[in-house]
Parts: sequence; C-alpha cells; structure tokens
Amino acid sequence: MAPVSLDQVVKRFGDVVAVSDLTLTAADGEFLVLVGPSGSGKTTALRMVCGLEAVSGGEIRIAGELVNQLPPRQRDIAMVFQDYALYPQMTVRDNLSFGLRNRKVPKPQREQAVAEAARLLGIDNLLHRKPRELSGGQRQRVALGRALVRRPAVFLMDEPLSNLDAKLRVDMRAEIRSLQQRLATTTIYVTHDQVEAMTMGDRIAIMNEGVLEQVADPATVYAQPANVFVASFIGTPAMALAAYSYSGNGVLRRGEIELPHATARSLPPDVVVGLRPEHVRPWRPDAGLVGPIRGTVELVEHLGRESFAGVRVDPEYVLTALVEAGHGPDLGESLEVGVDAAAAHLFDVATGGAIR
Amino acid sequence: MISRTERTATYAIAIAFAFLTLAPLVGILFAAFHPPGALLNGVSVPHSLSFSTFSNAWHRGSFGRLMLSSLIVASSVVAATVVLSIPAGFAFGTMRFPFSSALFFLFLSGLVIPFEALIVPLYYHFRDLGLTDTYWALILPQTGLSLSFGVFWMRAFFRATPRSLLEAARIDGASSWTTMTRVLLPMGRPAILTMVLLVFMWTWNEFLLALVMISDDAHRTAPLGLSVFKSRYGIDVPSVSAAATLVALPVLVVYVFLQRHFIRGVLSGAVKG
Repeated sequence: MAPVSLDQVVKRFGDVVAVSDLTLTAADGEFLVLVGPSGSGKTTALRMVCGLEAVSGGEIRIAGELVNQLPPRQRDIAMVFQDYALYPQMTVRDNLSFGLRNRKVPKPQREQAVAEAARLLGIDNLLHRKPRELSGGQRQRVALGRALVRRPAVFLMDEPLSNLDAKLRVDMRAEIRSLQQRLATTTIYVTHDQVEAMTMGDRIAIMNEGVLEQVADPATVYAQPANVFVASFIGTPAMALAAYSYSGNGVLRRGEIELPHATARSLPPDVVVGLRPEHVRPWRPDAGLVGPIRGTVELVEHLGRESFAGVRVDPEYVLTALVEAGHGPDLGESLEVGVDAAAAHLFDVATGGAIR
Repeated sequence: MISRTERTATYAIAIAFAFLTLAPLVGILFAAFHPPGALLNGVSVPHSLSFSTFSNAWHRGSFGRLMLSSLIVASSVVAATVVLSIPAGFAFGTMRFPFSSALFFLFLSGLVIPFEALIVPLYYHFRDLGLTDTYWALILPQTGLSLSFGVFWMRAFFRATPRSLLEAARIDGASSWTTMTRVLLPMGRPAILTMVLLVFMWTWNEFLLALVMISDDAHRTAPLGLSVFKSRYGIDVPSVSAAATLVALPVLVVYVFLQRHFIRGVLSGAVKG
C-alpha cells in the first residue's frame, strides 16, 4: 500500500515560487496525472516526490512515511525520464539490472526480475543491445522496464512520451495505462498534453503557475471545470470564453447576444460565459438552440469525422462551432450559429471561479 | 550546399596553412639527412637517404638514457593527472559543495599564471627539500600544472553529460563512485584520451623546468639532450635536426594512436553527439 501525499508543499528557487502550497494525494494504485503548461510547476512537484529536488516547505509522504529528508534511493520509487536517460555504454540487460545490482540483489533474483520485466514489455530479444542500437519506441520500453524491474511502490513519469512520434505515442499511452493497471502501482505522471491526461489518468491534477487549479477525474474536469484556467486548458478546440453582463431578468447579455439563464442562483452583474464547441451548432430553428447568432467564419479545422469552425460574432468574441463533416463552411463565409444555453459554463469575472 | 568557388577557396587556404605548418618540419627532416657537421644554408635537399646522422646523434647524445628519463617523468605525470583530475572534475562538474567555485578558480589560476614566474621560487623550494636532481623535481610541478588543465577539462566533460543520467543513477541507488566509474566515465574515453595526449606532449617537451632542476646526467630528459650539439664554434645543424626528430617521434606515435579519439574529444564540447 503506497499512497503518495503532498501536504502544503512549497518549492522556491530564490525569489521564484515554483510550487506553492500544493496539497494533493495519489491513492494507492492510482494513476494520477499532473498536467499544466510549461512553467506550471508540475515537473518540479514530481522531482520533489522523487527526491531530486529538496522541498522548501510542507510534507511529502510515501506510504505514510515522511520522506522530505530521504535521498531518492530510499524512497522506493522509480522514475521514467523524458529523454529516457538510459546508460549509453550498458546493454539493455545491464540497464535493467543496474538498480538491483546497486541494491545488492543476488544474481539469480536479478536475472529473474530482468527476464520478467523484459517479457512484460516485449523487449526480451533486445537484452544484449546497447541503447543507441534501439529505436525510439524500444528505448521508451527499456526506460519503463528499468523503472518496473525493481517493483517500486511508486512510478514517477516525467513526460515519457513526448519524444515519440504521434502514432507511437497513442499506442504507448494505452500500453502504459494497461501495464499500470496490471501492476496496480501508484503512478504520478507529468505531461503538458491534455489529451494524454484525459485518456490516461484516474484523476487529473491541473497546475498553473505553481498552483493546483483542480483535481478530479477526467469527466468531471471536462464537464465541471473549477475555474477559467481549467476551462480553457482542457478540451480541444478550447472552450470559447467571453464576458457577459447580467441585469437580473434571467438573461445574460453581450451586445446583441442574449442567453437565457436557467440557474436559480442569482448572478453578479459581470459573468464569464464558456461554451464548448459541441454546444455551438449551425443554426436550425427546431434544434432547441438559442440564436441565431451571426458571424464570420475565420478558421476551419477538418478532422474527418467532424469539423470545427471558428466564428467571429463580435470583434472580441470567437465562438467555435462543431460542424458535421462535409458541411464545413468556407473561410470568410457568413454563418449563423445557435447555442445550447443550458450547457454554458459560468465563471466569476473577478476570481475566475466557476459559478454553479 | 557549398559552391564550387567556396570549396576551391577552402582547399586553397587549407593547403596554404598546411604548407606553413609543414615546411619547417620538412626543412628539419631534410637537414637531418645530411652528414653530421655539414654546413647548411636554408632548406637543402639531401643527396641520399642515409640514417647515419640519426644513429650518430642517438649515441652522441646518449638519447637512450634521456628518453627513458623522459618516459618515466611523462608517464608518471600523465598517470597522476588522470587519476587525480577525474574525481576532481567529477566533483566540480556534478556536485554542489561549499566554496566550489572559489576552489575551481584556484585550480584555474594554474592555467593563467605564467609558469616562468614560478620556476625560480620553485627551484629554491625543491633545493631546500633536497629534491633537485631527482625525478620528483620534474614530476611534482608538472603534475600540479597539468591538474589545472585536467580538472578544468574533466569538469567540462562531466558538465556536458546529460543531467538525467546522473539522476537516473541516483534513483537506481548508485553511489557517487559507481555513478562516476560505471555510468559517466565509459562515455568519457575521448575526453580522457585527449587529456592524456595533451599532458603527455606538454610533459615530454618541457625544457625550462628540466634545465633548472636537473644538472645530473642521470636524470636529464630528452629535450635537454639537444644542447650536446651546441659547441662554442656553432651548432651542428644536421645532428641537432636528427636529434630533434628523434625527440619528437614518441609524441607523434602517441598522437597517431590516439588521433581518432583526440578529434572526437576536441569536438565533443562543440557538437552534441
């Protein structure tokens, strides 16, 4: 049983606060993804759990034990690096067994563990090779193998897929996930790719500028973003966000656009309204949408199964609409869209927090 | 793509510089093929390929013994430099410890201060210690001097190794010693061999220190042997040329063996491999 918990963890580099008051727990066996833009502190947080970075404040516990002062090798963790960090002069076999050898594991057990890890990852035929003789995907597998050969209590992964090409990345995503489920090892996984976060994580922790913005399962993060940052960061294309005014009569207003507001709670006079592309559709009178809202198409993305159109409805407001494939409008064309007003996300202008 | 003119110009300049570098060496080689004592003016092409001047110079200068001294000194300095500068460079390159930058600048000062300025006080020190006319008088100062370069060089190598390798080794539970010897040093062969070559060359060619510290024939090094051919009537140019060629030969041999690594070592800082 090895949950990892961070309690008000702070990391300062000189005057810069890289991570501020991070309180977060990865339950035993959980796959927790730390996601955020670069500079959000997610890697720093991971490195503190690992022990490569000292904490400036707060407490980190692994399996209940306070590890703040423990060196990495005493934390029962393994890390997968972005650049794999395979030992270039050692064969795959030696790469895998290096950690066991340093821990004075007797040779027969070492060999058994290496063989098992290699089989699990399908690299048993590569054991005699050097890293430079491997493809990117194979190196990735060896890096994973080196982490799991020791059967640590916790896996830490720092953007392990970002050096792979797109196709391989999708395959490895599923593979890492199923491997983790089979081993049921607590995993903290850092990425800047929100698709990776959504597809892999049991829960996602979204970080921005050293602050934890929200932590929840992928569906919740998508359906109920806690604030404007999460709303804009999760989902592609991004949610369209714009300020509306509310004067109390049940209607949110921005210029000529009027959205009926169904929630019972009273709203402040200024509200940020977020609309996901799937809640903005080409206008049809019978579709139960609010509209029509007229605008100019200034961006079209054809994804095959569906298309997205960026429609500028006023000088500072572009609504992204989900359009059926084959019915994509042309650039510069005028388009009328309708909005599923009930699905709109409302945020406080001042704090950015969600209004529910 | 490089244009034709550019390539032609590149070759022309390279050839011109190669000529400037090689011409004096060829001149010396030519001179060495003349009979001992011959009077030469400028570059003079020998009439025949006779090695008699070489063997003559070898015996007259007793270069067998001198070369042995040189070899003892140079290999001791190289060995001590390698053994000491690798761990020191590792510490400077990968660890943070109090006063590390101050200490490192102290090492660097050895590269900055002209050695000539130190030789006289060094001589008195060594005389007080009774070490003049021993190999120690050559080995110790040159090891100290080479360490300035060696520590600087190895620190640069260790700093250029990917940090994640060090971190992976730490997580894998490796001690600093294991990390250095098993993870990083196997990648460092070009850097180490380059250092070996440079230190060997500098030590082998060292003249001033040997001249000051050694007066006893048994401990003289090869470069000192060249003075045999200077008499009050002038210099025996063919003999001194032959002797100089013989003295330079070991460095050349070492270079030929190590040149592949040498070039990689010199480039490794510039281009990421």
